[in-house]
Amino acid sequence: MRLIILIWLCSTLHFAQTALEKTEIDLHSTSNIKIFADHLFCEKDYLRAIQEYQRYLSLDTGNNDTIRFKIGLSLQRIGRLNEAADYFDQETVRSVFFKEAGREYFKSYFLQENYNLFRSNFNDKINSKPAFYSGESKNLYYFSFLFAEEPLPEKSFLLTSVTEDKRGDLDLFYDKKISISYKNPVLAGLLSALIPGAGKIYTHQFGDGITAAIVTGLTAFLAYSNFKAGHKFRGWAFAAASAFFYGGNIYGSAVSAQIYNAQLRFNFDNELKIYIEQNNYFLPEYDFCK
Amino acid sequence: MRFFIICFTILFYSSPYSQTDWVMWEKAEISYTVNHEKSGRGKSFLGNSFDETIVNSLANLYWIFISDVDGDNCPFHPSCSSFYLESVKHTGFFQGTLMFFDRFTRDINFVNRRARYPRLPNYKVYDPVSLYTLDEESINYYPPSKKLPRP
Repeated sequence: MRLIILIWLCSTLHFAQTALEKTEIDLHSTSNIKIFADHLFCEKDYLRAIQEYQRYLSLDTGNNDTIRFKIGLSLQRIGRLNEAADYFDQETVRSVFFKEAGREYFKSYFLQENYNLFRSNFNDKINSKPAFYSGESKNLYYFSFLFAEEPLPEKSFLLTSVTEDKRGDLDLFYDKKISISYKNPVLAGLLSALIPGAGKIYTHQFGDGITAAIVTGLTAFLAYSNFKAGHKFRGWAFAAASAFFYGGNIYGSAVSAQIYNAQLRFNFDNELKIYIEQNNYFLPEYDFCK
Repeated sequence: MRFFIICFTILFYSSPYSQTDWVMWEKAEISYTVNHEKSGRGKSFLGNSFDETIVNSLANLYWIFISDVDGDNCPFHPSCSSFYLESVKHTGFFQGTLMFFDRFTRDINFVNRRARYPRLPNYKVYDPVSLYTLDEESINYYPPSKKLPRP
């Protein structure tokens, strides 16, 4: 009886480790690696999906452009944008996903948010690989001008360059961009020089403006009253404090105007980014996980 | 009977040793000491220039005799004293002093002070020197709604 129990215990431990071999499933076959990688891709576990797809490519003898395209997409979605662009660039004209690879290649550069680099790269690529060019990429290229700091191109030029269905939206964003009213840092500084705190109020920092006026006025009054009472040291100390608060406020008002302008630019860019994202970067939808 | 006991002992006592990742599951050693390196306070009186040495000395005197006794009460990150040191380091004594007085005015503002700065996980508001150097290129604007990581 004892012997039977011992044999049973030991044998169950053994079978627990060998059950897979009994069912004859090879989890590391190329087809199973691909199924697993696809599962990871659809679960948005892109980092591990890339590893599995790369393992699949190293085992599979065929030149699988779909897998390369999915690796590119995975890299793009985890923010490794240069590597993603390299993968999309590998697609040849014979590839099933050549057109899509072209669009995603430009999107990878667009997502880096360096729009001057994006545009110069776009022009270089169109010259070296003209087949990558498509209407969707063209839209992304011309909308990117709205992010630029430098003067905008002519409105008519941009409107005639994008596809017809996007002209109305570009028109709206263009008008919004040129109608942003920036604050002048020099004017903000001058206003604060005339009336302490006025420059801050000009840049919509009302609390800071009122505080600056009170602090500067109060220290100036204390300096005056101490001089009047014959307390020269305290008089000079408050006078120095008042002068520094006055100077600091002029400086701060100019900076406040710069920050106000940066905030306006940020809000516009953010609105435009959301619009482009909602339009899927002007690319058609394709879903590998249906 | 002895054989039976030995076999069972081997089987059941060997199983805990098959667990090799004890580090992941064991009780963590937690330290409650404050990391002074993160506070940005060098505690050194010397700077790279004469201006920095003066401002370092003033800041250290303030830290030792007032701030360390009073506690960490400044709502900004970096704190006003650290802001002054950093601004003098980046822009020089005169501009750094103007930046400090502007910061001090913003600090004592009692009207909706915190609403326009992004917050850090430790409930301080983020207000870096780079926003105030008058160099528009260095302004990296964060909206107040932005959740920033711990500095």
